[in-house]
Amino acid sequence: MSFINFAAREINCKIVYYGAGLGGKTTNLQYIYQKTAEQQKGKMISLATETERTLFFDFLPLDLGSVRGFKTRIHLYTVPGQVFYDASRKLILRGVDGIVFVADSQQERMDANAEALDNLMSNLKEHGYDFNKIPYVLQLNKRDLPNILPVDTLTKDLRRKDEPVLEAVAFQGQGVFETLKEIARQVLVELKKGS
Amino acid sequence: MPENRAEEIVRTAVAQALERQLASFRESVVQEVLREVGPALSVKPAQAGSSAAGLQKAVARIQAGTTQKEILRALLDNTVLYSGRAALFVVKNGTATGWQGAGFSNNDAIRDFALDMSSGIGARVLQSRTAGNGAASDFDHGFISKFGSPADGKVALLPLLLKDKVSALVYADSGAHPGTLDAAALDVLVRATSAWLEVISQRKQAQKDGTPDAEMHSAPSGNDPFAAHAPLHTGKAHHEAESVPAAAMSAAAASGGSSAGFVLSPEDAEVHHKAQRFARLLMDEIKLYNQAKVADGRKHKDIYDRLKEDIEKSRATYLKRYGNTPAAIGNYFNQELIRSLAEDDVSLLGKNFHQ
Repeated sequence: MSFINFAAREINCKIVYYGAGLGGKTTNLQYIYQKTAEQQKGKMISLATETERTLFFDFLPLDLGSVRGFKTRIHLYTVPGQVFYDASRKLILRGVDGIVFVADSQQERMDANAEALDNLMSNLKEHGYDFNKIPYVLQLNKRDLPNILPVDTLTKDLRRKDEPVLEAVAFQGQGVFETLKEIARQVLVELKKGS
Repeated sequence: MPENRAEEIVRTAVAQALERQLASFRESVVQEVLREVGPALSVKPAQAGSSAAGLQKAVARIQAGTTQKEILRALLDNTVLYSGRAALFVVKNGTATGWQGAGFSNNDAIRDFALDMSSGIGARVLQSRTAGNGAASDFDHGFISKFGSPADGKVALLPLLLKDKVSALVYADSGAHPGTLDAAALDVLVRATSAWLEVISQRKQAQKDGTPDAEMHSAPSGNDPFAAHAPLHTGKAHHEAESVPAAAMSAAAASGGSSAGFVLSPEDAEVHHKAQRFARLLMDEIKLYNQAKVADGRKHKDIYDRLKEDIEKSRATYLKRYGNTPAAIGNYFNQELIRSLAEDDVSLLGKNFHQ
């Protein structure tokens, strides 16, 4: 969970973008990175192998406010989506403060979405985290494609609690910051509860 | 008692009752079909492959299928035992759209081929709902032009009926080998497939309705096994057509053997279903992440060599999850590997692939 850097007077939070392979997790992060001012962000670190594209960077949003005089620095992570990289996914979830599940809206990826969601639940459980208490957003990505399922159908199949559901076209930036703001808001609420 | 608990008990009871009926139901369908086409078989001396025993095996293979796709794929695979080339077209609103082909030099081109049903054999079969045979010149000219005329110039078109409607058409000809077209045998296979699809459809509907198995024989089914078919040009994925869930799985189906005998419990059937879906997902991901390698592998018949790392990592993941479950006997990983990555042609995986 979040850790405090007293010297810098910052609270560091970890948000993980989770979801099936090629669903748009990395695209979300890349867009956020591109649109964030240089002085606000750290380096984008890529743990990419030929097939595994795991990204990480941190940034300091100016408009999030502070918690008891501490600024909030957000660290954004993606996980490798391909099913067999489960160990990496599990590792990246450690210490998570908020999760964005990026669902691929294409109907042929519904099995993959369901598998990734089950995998998320299973990995959270293994870490001993209570999913119901973790800030969480469901993003329905790729809304621009022709072969997508209706929002109602996706929501019915993929929503696991009363989490906000946001539509996105990540490569165009649609819904990307809306999603980030929502998850950051939830994380901040939790932080304030704990402060 | 909580409502969901009651529903669970009813579902389990219904599923168990249905399972008990499966073996006898399957056998009665086989016998009924053979009885119906018996006269045709006795008029035309059977070829080596169309003996009653050979046909019974073919029917059993078809009826080992538990999903629409498995059943139709088995129909096609067995149709080419009694013909040179075969293709299946899904009929909707009077139009026939290609689903899959077998025995053609370009099977992929069958997909989404729109068959002209306005005249000739196609129109007659659609109207009469009975099989039609005739000259290739009396069949869709566009089709013959694209895929070539059979050597003996004869074609057969058989309607696959569901609830008395033509839901699909099976095209067959002798290809490059005159005399290999056995219309009577094909009639058996198509009728058996129709019957089995009806059975699966009714079982699914019965489970959905929670009706006891006794009602299954008379209850009309509102479930159309072809409803999920969506040609490419509609923008919907073919995947959907593959997703008709297994109402139940026989152990025989899982092992690819005879359809007679032992029947799985609903719990085990569910594990089989999940294992198969997981194997399919693993293959989908290999294809998604390695599109160029898959294309090259198919072209050069060495898919396994090019994708060995991904395949073996996926296999390990699959075995970790299902290797010690009842689904282990299903060998779904290899099945999907061949079906999905190699498009049903095991030779595309290359010489280093061993099942």
